[in-house]
Amino acid sequence: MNQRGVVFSMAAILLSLTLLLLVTYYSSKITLDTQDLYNQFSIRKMGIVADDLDVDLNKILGTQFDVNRGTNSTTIRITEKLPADINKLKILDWNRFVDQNYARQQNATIQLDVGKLTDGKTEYLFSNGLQYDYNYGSVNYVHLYKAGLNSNMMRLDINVTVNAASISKTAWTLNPAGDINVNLNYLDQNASNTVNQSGVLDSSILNSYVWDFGPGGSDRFTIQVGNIDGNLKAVKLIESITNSSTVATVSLRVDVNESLSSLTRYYDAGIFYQQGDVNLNRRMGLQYE
Amino acid sequence: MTNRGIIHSMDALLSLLIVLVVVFTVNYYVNSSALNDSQQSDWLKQMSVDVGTVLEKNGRASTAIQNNNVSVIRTYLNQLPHAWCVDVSIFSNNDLNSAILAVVRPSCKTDASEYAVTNRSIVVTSGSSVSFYVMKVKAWWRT
Repeated sequence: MNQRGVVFSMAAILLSLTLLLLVTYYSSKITLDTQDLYNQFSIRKMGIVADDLDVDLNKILGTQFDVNRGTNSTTIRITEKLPADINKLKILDWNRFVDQNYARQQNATIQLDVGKLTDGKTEYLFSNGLQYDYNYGSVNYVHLYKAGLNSNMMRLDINVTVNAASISKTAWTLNPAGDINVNLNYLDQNASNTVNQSGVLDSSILNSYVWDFGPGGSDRFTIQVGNIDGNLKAVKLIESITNSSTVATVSLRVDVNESLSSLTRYYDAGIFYQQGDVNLNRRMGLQYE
Repeated sequence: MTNRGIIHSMDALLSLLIVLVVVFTVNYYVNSSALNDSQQSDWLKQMSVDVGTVLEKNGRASTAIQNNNVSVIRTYLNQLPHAWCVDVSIFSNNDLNSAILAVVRPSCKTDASEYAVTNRSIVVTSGSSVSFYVMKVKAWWRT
């Protein structure tokens, strides 16, 4: 009887010791893992710096994107000014600031590749092949298209406000048998040239809506939809008004009929960051949808 | 009979001893799971990063620079958790040695043993002009 009690006691002690050892092992393991995680700040910092620079770039370029990837379609909203408030060549000044002062403050090497944003046109790329160009200079235009392909836009909502008075307008021709739905809301300081229109356009041809702001066709605002330079179902808004104080505020909503498992978007520019043995090399303005 | 009593007593004492060992061990590990120095330090860094990010993205830093007035930043700092102390300095791109704006959270003593400092660039646009600044956010735990 006494021997059985000793056996039970020994068993209880052994069981308790085993449990204690296990608790000790896993507790110390969790502590080590947590410390490993927290010691990765230098890795997290490169993402924080890249995010900081993305915010700055977006502020200088002034374009606002909002992209929502749905089950069967993707909605892209773009808000823009033609011409932009800020001369896009200011990116060069910003690049110098980042390369010199900001990198020194971060105690890191930071190099930006902004060559393709400062050549007169900024390019914003989508992983499904869509591309959004902003051409700046004597003629300002924005162009959303898929190079050499059909963009698969099925619905287009275009809102434009110009702070000047047009003298005439030339409308495009709606085609009920077409394949792209367009809502157009245009407003300038000549109320008789206001347009609020919903209809269908044939995307196989170039459809143009033109507002003239001076005689001779030199000053005009143009909206093109359809086949633009061989890019099907593309949209282009062109501001070619010589008075530099004339600004067109553009808001564009595009529904693209595509089922995408993922979508990334970014400016055609790069950032290289290095601090010690940690480095990052990625596109600027990178977003995952 | 006497022997059995001793055995029962010893058994009870042993059980009590085991329970005490378990209680003390659990107590030790529960206490050691509180923030250690490394975690405290990381929280400080994250705090300074968060404050800088929010100040830039909600426009308070730009507003302060444009108005040459730190009240919008101070208002935000006062809304932070009580234990957080933050000092924000903004430097012009032309002179990274002397701050053009500086604000410390009211009632925070600057005698902490550990600080976390992060830098963030601020782009301020006004009409067609653009200016560049560096915002330094220094954070520490209130003592």
